[in-house]
Order: sequence, then C-alpha cells, then structure tokens
Amino acid sequence: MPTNLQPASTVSAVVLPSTGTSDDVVNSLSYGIYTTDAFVSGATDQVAYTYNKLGGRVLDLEITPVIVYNAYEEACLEYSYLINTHQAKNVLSDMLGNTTGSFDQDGEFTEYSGSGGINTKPNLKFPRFQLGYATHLGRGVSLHAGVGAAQTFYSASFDAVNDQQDYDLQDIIYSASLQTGTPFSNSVGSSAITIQRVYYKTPQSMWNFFGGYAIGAVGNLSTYGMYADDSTFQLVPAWQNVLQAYAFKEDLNVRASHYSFRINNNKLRIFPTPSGISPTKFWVDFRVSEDAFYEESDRKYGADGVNNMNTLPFPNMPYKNINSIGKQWIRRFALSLAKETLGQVRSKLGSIPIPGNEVTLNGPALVSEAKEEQTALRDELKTVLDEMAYGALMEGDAALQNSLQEVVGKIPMGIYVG
Amino acid sequence: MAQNRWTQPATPPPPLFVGRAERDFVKQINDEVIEHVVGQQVLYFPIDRERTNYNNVYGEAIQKTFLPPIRVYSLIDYEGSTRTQTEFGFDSLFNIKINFHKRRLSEDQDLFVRPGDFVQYDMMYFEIVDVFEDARFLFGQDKNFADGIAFSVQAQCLQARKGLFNPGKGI
Repeated sequence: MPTNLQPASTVSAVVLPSTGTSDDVVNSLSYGIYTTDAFVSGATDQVAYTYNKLGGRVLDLEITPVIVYNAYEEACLEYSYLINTHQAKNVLSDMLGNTTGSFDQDGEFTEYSGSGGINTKPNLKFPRFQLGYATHLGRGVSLHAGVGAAQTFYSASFDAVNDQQDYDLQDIIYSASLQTGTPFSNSVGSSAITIQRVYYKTPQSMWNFFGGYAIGAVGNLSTYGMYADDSTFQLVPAWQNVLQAYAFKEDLNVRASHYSFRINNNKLRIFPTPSGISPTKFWVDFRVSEDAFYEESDRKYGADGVNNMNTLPFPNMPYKNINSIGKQWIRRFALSLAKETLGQVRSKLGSIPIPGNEVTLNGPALVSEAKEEQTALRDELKTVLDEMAYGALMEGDAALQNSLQEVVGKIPMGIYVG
Repeated sequence: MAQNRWTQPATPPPPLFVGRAERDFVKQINDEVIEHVVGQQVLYFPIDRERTNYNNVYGEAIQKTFLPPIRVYSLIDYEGSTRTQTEFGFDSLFNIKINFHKRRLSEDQDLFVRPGDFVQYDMMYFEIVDVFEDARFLFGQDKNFADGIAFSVQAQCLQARKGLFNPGKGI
C-alpha cells in the first residue's frame, strides 16, 4: 500500500485557522487597550469571519490569528478616533476653556478633575450648549467696550499743575505702581496701559442739581417727561425716559465738563491748560495689558483648559459603548486590515519559484484592494457623521419645519358659508 | 595605537531580505501550489537495493524489489515520446520530466530521488533515468545558504515496459 499519503510538514506553516482562540487574544494585542470579555469574544469571532471572507476554506491564508486580533483592536481604535474627531467638531466651541485631562500612552485618563473624574467619558456625553467660544470672544470685545470685562479696571489720579498741559500717563501710573498699597502695585512693569476714561471730580450733587433741567422749570413731554404738569399727569413711553437719561449723562460729560483732552501714546494733553485750582486732580480709568496666557488665580477664566481638539478630555471609546452600527463597521475594517497584512506578506517576494517554474502571488492586488476598502469605509463613516453633525441636524430640523409650513400652507382654508 | 582589526562574529546575522522565515514561506507556498492548486502526483517506487538481486557483472536485476510506494506531489511535464521502428512495428515510449520540491521530499517525506527508481504516472510506469538538481538560486542564495538543500530536483523519466517493472495489481 502507498504510504505517506498526507505527510505532515516539518516546517510550521503559517496558516490562519478557521477559528480563533479566546485565551490567546489579550496577550497577543500590541496595545491591549481593549481587553474586556466582550472584546475578546468579538476578536475571536473575527478570525472565523476573516477565514471565510478571504477564502481560507479553499486556499491557505498566510497570516496568524494574532494578526486578526490586532486588526480587530486597531479597527476599534480607528472607529473611536473617527467618532471622537467628529464629536470634537460638535462640541469644541462649547468645551473651549473647560477642564482638560492627562492621558497615558493608550490615550486613557490618568488625571481628570472634571465632573466624574477619570472614570467618566466626556466624549460620550451631550454637553450643555453655552455658547462658550462666543462668550469668550465677547469678553474680549466687552473689554474694549469697557463693560463687563473679565479684566480689572483701575483708577488713578494726578495733580493738575498750573499751566501744564501735557501729562505722561504711562510714566505717572508706572511710578504709582511702584508704591505699595495701590491696587495695581507692581502690575504695570513694562506693560502698556490702556486708558479707558479721563475725568475729574467736583461735588457730583451740585452737578446733578445744576445739570439737566432746572428745578423751577415747568415740565411736559418735551422737558422732564413723566411728571406732573400742573394738575395734569402726562404718560410717556419707557424709551422716552431712557433717552432722557442718556441726554442727561451726555450733558454732564460734555457740555458741563469745561475740559477736553487728547491722548497720543498715553501722553495726555488737556484743553484748556488747567490752572491747578479747579479741578485740582484729574482721574483716569485704565487697565494694564495682560499676557494672553495669563490665568486668573481666583476664578476659572484664562488660558488654561481645552484650547483645541488635541486637549479635549476624550479617551478611547469603550468597547461596550460601541453599538451595532459601530460593531459592523469594525468587523469590516478589521477584515480589510487583515487583508492588507496578507497582501504585504504575499508582496515581499515578487514571484515565488516553484520546481521548474515560478508563481506570482496576488499580494499587490490584496494591498490595493484593502487600501481602497479602508478609504471607502472611512469615507462612509465620515459622510454619515457629517450628515449628523449638530449643525446639520439643526439644518435638517429647519428644512423639516419649512417643508411642514409649505404643506400646511397648501391646505385649503375653510370658507364660511352663512 | 588601537588596532583596527576586523573580527568575524561568532554568529553571523541572517540575510537581511531572505532569511529563515522567507525560505519557509517559499516552501509553504510551494507545498500549497503543488499539492492543493495543481495537484499532480506520482506514485514513487523506491527500489530496495538490499533485497534486489543484481547481476554481478552488469549490475542489473530482472526482478526488482521495491519499498512501499509513496505518493509524491510534483510538477510533471510530458516531453513527447521516443518512437523506434523495429521488425515487429513501431515502439513508442513516453518521456516525462518530474519536478520535485526537494525540501518537501527530504524534510517531510524522507525521500531521495535516485536513478533507477520507478514512478507511476497516468497509469503508466516510468523509470528514472537521470536526476539533476535545479541550478536556480533562491533569491540569489545558493543551497549552501538555503539550508544546504537545492530548491528542486528534476527527474528525467522514460516509460518502462511491463517486463522491466511490474509491481502487480492493486497499485
């Protein structure tokens, strides 16, 4: 009888088996970021899926289960990367300045002082919509407008000197900052100050007494408004009173001031030349330019925190939080990664000699196909995600409303027949 | 002054491009192509030289004793037939060339191709009349680098008459 019908190869051939071994998964992973039982089960199943899809039942696949396990983990990481990137676009404007975190080599939290600590997953949350970025910019704008800014305004005064028209405010305030006890002590240094307001003080009660409209005047709608005019009470709208308040303020600041000024390079020139008698002091409100990265020590405002996508507190997406849509994407992507590796193996040697001839393997084709599949899978996911961006959802809602109105508008109006 | 002498490493590094893994990969592909894809096979009859009664002068044996035959996958080329005209008519014998994958033979089947052995192919018996190793290198490596084994062995075979080799029925 013939012998050695199926001799075993003494060389350990590298062939993908038809099934994976769950006990081997965790220790085979390059990164080991995903190690839960569910992940191990998924990675093990991926071997059978790869084996069937790449034709392992007909011909050998020169890859190992370890390659498939790693492809599966890489696919999970790729999915997490794409989802997190997409979510970053959604929420970044509201998370700018928020607490960032510290991460280990796997991209997992080692430190996070935000709500929930290191066990939380901010990338899975639906953040509050607070117009964070717009608010931040608004603070800068309000700084220049002199209202509601997050930067301190200081006041300082200097003596009016007889016949002296020019005063170097930078020098005056810098000198004052060297004195202890001033609110802006040692805060000027070489920074330029920005003058917000120039004024002088006299007894304000007197100005209010003389300003605006004299007490003895008979008022009506065009004078002091909503007051008694003889025995008749006139009603005026609120805006009338507001405008009158503005007019009163402007009257005090401009018409009753007697002085004007000009500032060039923080050098103040007062018109007319002061006498030094009345007023005896002039005042300025100013602020000191702060470094762009200055952090307020007593409140959460400054340069710390999230500044862009790279500092978002986004760890890897947990395997258990990947739904069925994501799981199927991962299977397909992992298959493509395994195919690419198989193609690389078969590509290293352009042609393989066989007795009396040579064969050319399909490595380059496999690599090319795998790359195309990966690109297509990424594009598919990105396209779907872009269609579901928060802004796009809003546009969709608006379009829905418009369509609804159009439909409703075409409903015939009921005609009343008496 | 320090001597700048070249010293040979005790264990030279493997070739950078084609090492053990690559050679094993080539063997694996060969095994798969030859056995699973092409599937050509011969039945190899090694002659038992210890039990065959050779003629003392000519070194030939009319009755040949062979070891249990072995199925061997290989790549076989028909090379036409040798036709000779005799007084009884034409005598036509086929020629084939068998390309053996040598690593498969020697490492897995412990078989060595020898002239004088017989093979069965396509319901005919052939005698191996010449054997030569493939002169091709494996990616530039001759057999001294590639495990000391030539890549392939080619056997030139001539159809054997029944009178020359007759293993009997049941084969």
